[in-house]
Amino acid sequence: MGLNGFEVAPGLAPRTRPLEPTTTTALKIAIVGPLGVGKTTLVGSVSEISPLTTEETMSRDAAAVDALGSGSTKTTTTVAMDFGRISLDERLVLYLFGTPGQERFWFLWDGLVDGALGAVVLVDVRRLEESFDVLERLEQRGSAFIVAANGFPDAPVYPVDVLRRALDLPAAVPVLNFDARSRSSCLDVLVALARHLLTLAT
Amino acid sequence: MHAAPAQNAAGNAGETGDTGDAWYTGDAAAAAAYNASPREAEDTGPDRIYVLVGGRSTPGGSARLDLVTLVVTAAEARLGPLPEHRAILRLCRFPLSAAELSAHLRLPFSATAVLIGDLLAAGMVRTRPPRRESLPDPELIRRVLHGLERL
Repeated sequence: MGLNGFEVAPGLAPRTRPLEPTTTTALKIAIVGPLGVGKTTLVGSVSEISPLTTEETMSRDAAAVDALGSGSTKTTTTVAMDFGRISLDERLVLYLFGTPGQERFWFLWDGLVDGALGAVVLVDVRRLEESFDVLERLEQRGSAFIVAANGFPDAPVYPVDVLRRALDLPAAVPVLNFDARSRSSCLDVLVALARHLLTLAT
Repeated sequence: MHAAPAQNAAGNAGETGDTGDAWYTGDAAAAAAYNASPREAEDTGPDRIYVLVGGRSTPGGSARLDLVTLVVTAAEARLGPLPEHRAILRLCRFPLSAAELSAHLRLPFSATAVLIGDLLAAGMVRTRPPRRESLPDPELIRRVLHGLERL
């Protein structure tokens, strides 16, 4: 039984539990990509809790520049971010936040990417163009990121060099193919990001 | 003028809420409280959110909360003015991120941050701010890597 006994509590929702009391430091990683690319699937594959959702309401300023807002500043939009968590050791916990990559959601990033260790940009090889903006944005911000192509069953698999060229990425940015439904494959992605961060930090 | 009934509602709830010591007495009770918490904040429509945050948009007098700021209930704190405050105090008997609180309370993150700010100002919770270096130190990254590779 764990320190706080939550694993055996009757009626407790599966994979819902608090952190160990010794946890002192939280870190976060942004999982960025267009709708339906597999962000929540990735989070669910590796999270120790069932993925949760936090919502934020878009401010009026942000709504004003929303291309879908039809120019109305009175429309507010609620944006949801799915997230999960991995306890790394007794003191360190890593949070993974799935966040939409479209320009109108970039206001979310103020609280996310700026303070994040780094980002994983998820791409669907059938619609790479949907990821151009977000990649450019991350490069402009100087954020550390890697690119992971989610291998959908009915999509072709391209060598990473081909993907790198198609996305116009520098050689230093790791690119890999993965399967968002596979826990080990998702962990490989996170390990690749951590190795990339280590390279940048040393 | 909207604030007055809100205060009354909060006061009444405060007197009838199950904020006794029972959930402190054992892990099973704490777990039950933890699991029950989302249900006690069912009404989270715009009106309720207005009642909770009263037009306040940022936590008063404290540093800006991050999504992964860890919140921990202070040892002696038991009561809060609103049911949502008490839910936070229960949930944070063990550390929990502000984002998780937002999810469990089914409140927007900004509203949750205001409530955490209330409790922080009252000394009822403590926070553990996240690391926010633009380029984290290698030792921290090695710990992350080690933790991931053990999974």
